[in-house]
Amino acid sequence: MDGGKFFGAFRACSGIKDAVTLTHVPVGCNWGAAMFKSTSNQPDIRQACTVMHEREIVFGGEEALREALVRADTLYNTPLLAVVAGDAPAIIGDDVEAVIDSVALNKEVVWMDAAGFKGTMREGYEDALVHLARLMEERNVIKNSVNLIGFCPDDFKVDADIKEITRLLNHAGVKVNCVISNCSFDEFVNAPAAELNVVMGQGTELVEHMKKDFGVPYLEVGYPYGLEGTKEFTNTICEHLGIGYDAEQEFDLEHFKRIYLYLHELYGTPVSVIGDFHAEPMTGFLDSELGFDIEVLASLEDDYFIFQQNVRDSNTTILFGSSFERNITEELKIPLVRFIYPVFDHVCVYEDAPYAGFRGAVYLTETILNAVMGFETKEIK
Amino acid sequence: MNEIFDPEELKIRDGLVYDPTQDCKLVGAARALSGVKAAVTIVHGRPGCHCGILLLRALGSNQNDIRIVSSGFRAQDMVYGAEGRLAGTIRLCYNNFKPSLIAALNCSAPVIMGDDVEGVVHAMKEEIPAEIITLSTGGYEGPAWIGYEEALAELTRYMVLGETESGKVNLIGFKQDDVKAYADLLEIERMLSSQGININSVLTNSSFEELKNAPKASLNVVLGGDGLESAKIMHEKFGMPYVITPYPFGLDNSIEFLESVTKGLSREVNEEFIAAEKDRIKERIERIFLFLQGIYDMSVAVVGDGGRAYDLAKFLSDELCLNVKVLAITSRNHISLDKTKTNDDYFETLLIEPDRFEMNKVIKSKGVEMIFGSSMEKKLAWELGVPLFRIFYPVIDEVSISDVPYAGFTGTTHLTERIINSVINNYIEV
Amino acid sequence: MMYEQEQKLEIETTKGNGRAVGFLRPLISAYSTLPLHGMTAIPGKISGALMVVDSIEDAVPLIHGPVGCAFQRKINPFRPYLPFYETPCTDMNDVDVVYGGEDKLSLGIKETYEKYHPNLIVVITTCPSDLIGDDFKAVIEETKAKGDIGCDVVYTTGDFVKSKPVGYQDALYAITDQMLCNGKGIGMEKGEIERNEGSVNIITFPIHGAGLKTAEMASVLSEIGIEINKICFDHTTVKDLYDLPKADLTITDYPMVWAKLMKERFGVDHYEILAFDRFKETRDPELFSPYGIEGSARVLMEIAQRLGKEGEAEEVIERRKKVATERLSKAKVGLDGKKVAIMGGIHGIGMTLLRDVGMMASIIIYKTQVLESRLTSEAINEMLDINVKLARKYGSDPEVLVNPTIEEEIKAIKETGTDLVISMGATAHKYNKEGIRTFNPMDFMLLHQRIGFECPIELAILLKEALKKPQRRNPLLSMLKYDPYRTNLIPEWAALADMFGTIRQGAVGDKVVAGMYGM
Repeated sequence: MDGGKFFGAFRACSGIKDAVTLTHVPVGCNWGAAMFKSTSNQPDIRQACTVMHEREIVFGGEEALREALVRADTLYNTPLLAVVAGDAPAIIGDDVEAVIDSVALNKEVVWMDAAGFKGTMREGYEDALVHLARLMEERNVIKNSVNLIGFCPDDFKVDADIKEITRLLNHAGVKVNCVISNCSFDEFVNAPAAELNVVMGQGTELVEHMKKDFGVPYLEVGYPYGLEGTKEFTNTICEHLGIGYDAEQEFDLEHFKRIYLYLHELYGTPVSVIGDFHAEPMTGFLDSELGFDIEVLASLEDDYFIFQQNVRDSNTTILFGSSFERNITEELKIPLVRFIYPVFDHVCVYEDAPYAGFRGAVYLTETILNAVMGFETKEIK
Repeated sequence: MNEIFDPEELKIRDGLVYDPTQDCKLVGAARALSGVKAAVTIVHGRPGCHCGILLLRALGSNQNDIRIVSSGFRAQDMVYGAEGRLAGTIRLCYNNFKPSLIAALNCSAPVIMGDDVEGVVHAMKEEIPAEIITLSTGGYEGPAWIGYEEALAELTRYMVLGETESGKVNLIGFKQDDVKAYADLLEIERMLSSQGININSVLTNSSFEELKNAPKASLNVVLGGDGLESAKIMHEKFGMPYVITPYPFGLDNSIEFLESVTKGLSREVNEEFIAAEKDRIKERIERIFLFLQGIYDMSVAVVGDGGRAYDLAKFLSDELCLNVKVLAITSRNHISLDKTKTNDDYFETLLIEPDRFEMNKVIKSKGVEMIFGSSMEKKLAWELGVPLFRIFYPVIDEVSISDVPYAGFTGTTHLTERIINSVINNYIEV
Repeated sequence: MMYEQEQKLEIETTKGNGRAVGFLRPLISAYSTLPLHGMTAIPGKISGALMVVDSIEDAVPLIHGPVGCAFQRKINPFRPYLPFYETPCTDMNDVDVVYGGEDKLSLGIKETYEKYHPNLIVVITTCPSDLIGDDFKAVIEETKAKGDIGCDVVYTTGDFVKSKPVGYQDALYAITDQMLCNGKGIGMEKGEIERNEGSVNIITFPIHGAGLKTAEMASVLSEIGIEINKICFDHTTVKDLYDLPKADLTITDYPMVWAKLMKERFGVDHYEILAFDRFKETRDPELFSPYGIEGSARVLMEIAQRLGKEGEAEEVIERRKKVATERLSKAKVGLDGKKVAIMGGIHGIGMTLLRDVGMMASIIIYKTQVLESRLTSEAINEMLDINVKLARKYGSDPEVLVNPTIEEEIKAIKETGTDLVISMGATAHKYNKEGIRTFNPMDFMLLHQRIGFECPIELAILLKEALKKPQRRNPLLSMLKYDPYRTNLIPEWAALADMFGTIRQGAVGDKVVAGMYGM
């Protein structure tokens, strides 16, 4: 179930932590974007809306946009205003660029046409980052530093995962320059200081642009789930940077030994996975390291109805996905392990319980086991 | 809840038939001894007793550390005695495991029959290089917490006086098989370390050598009152002071924990550290403040052991502002009854070691919306259609292998997150 | 293996492969490799007795002993995911141990009745109450005579039977002896029971892996004209138990002492799917392979013969066999000639099932370490011979490996070109790491294996799916160090198993080893 271009653009822009996103949309789109974002970050509402109504649809929304820009400029003390135009202005033909050019504002403004019907969520994300990239400035390269690209501020476990990935890389002698899109405005502007861009699933257009404009090379890697996945992730980066480091030395099996009996018979458990670019690396961990059997693997862009049918017809006993999968898991009476956006029925504020990295392998294993063992199934008689 | 706690609301079990909320002495002693690293516990009793202890350990998150064996007591031994069998087992134990300590726990059957277990141990001392202790843990002799206290008290016999090291404490009342035990210990260590305090030994999560050297510490920290007897013995024998601290669930209990310990060591608490931790908690809590507002005044029941349940109830009531309708202490310790005499009003009805049938009735009558308990409350939670938060022993349907604690400052955030998720995860059809 | 199949699941076969049980399999599986039963521990009679009581909906246990016996036994060693939540006890203390617990027991029975309102109270005795010599029978009789108890009360001590599992068999015997025979029908003669002529009871409470799934069996028997009197234990009540003596035959998965008692007292004959008693006389290995098409046909015919319905049975069985064989011929396409390595023993997927799906046993791997302390070497060899004989009878000529290391196993598997290893989850990862596919029989044994003609078809489907799974994996489990022979145990557990095996030697029913102890 894809969110469409608007969501992708919104998520990219809201990842600039001190920017304000102005959505040029009716209230519903604005509300939806805010709700999905705010589950685990409720005070962080840095968005405004032009609140397009019927009048704007008939007569045009440019005046509303102009007014909103001026008000936002006054209200918010922020270095950047990101204007995301949604479906309605695209259809009625609002000249957003002209409106922006017509007002004198005290902050940087970047705008993008992100009508939901024009593309997928990923396309919206990619496009938004390319638009934002014009803010970047040439910098001296910091040796052994990387940008991590592909994140969104409302990814499930984003803070914990970034903390763990940063820890791993620091341990290997690699500095994290900027995390896109989950960084401050200044960090984003200084992104070209990194020696290497590391793309984790999305953001490829941005890195192409940065390579062209700033000469920053890039590397595409899988999201680091599991011990092997993390080792692959870390070692690949180190190799590219010419750092002789083998992450395997960090393997600590002690935690797994403590529940090895449970790991035994869950081996071969049939599961299904749906997700964005996180799905394949997660599948790799489940299949290769926990020994699960993958019944159905689907991406967000696949037909959701068919995905549900496939899961029903399979032997799936655990589903990995987002909060949207709760419906089917309730129907099938199986547990749901949430790991991809959007998650709106599960908070994650504790930043030392990641799913990524070595620590994440432990926590994820624990979570999966407990999803099975603690499942509140009807008493069997 | 502003009224002073009404003693009328304190219910102790009545009736004869007892569906127990805690185990017998054997389990308490075994739990204490399992935390002595490289010690082996011999269950001198029928296979059921041994299997029960083994299961309780194996169904937890210590599957690679089971040092519990049976003496092989069988039916014919009920007539002829099993002293020889015990002797053989002690010998085998030593040959197979080379432990520093062997503990022979005497169960109901051999106790009644009159097996001279102490005699056997005495006779084996010459032959076996390890220390051998014996405890009488017949099921009818008392509940688990007594077995725990007695086991710790027995271990004090091996402690030796040494040069006191300032800034070092012993933690007493820790149990390896509690939920999140290791993670909590790491957090407690971190908290103490922020005050320049180190842990000398943990009773029990230390080697036998470390335990012998327990008197080197400057202070004994008795978590939640568990293990108080051993602290008193050490005070008498070695002049060691002790403090009884809350189990550090939540912000206030964590602060109180640090303040007690630092005061016990005649130090000032590091306020900067506490302020920084508070800020961290605040920043995290702020992210889900709407949900916290949403669960405000939710009615809950807390069913757990005396060493932890009171402190959890206090956190839930004071800090998360949940209504603790029922606090059921499944297993007491030496200070549990004292706590009923305070003016604390963070629970409505208090049950002390209740019969499970009666407890369930009370909880059902109170309209609770969530239960904090052990795996044994799963059926009750299912009947009520409410989430069960597993936080007390025994938990046999949830593992904890990560370093994510429930205790301490870090644990406050994690606990809050988990509690909220227990509520919002639920699927309801209307 | 610790975990035993639970046959009381209601398997709604809607879509998929009985997957409508949803998520139960991983929940059950999660606990199944605990290496306890017979390896490092034995649960004891109370657990077995509680299992019986728990399976009767309107029965309640009363444990006559201290709290520990009641609390510890809440953990159900047969189904750790489903504890025995209600285990009231008489809370014996040291005063009771000295002066006797009979008064407490009497009051306890009364209070249990008033609290729980059951139709049956099963008093389960414990070490203290056994040792001090409380007279349970007298106490129960006196208590009932007072008139306050409106339900049946029986007691089980573990001493009524010698068969294993003791607690389970003893509790069932006690219910039969004290309640069915002496309850409403005190002194009742056989003729006074309203018989359900030509009917059978099917007892579905198996342990040790010989599961009964009743639906297909009941269907075939009904078609033959044999009525189903009762199926226990499936939401069974005390009233259902009272109806058991109405049948002509009781079908169990293996010999049960209480079924023999039913024959003595009520003339209700008994039939065992796994025919241990008949094997002693005939030494026919097929008596241990009742599953599969021919095995099921034999079992159903034997049952029909007991009831004089062989004529009707022949036609029904032939027809059902034909249909199933046709479907199986399609389902097993792609399996013919595929080689499989199996673990020896009388549990697990039998040779007859493998024969049905067209697969060849290329290797039999036999692990005897656990058995050596409990069986004689002759018995161990006999078990191995059963597997080998059957394999050869069905056209395979397997290599036999006895107590191999994992390296030896893998070498043999690769050299023989084995396609699939039938291996529990505890060890599957070892093969997968080497690029060898595995099939976990637990799922099949739990949810599918039964008397009936359909189960080979289901097995064929599952085996084909197994052959499509990834050939190579890099499991976390493969990073752990395991015992070289007992490849499901890490060294810590192997040490426990060694200790238990040594200490356990000489126990009643186990192999006797002289000269173990001395001071």
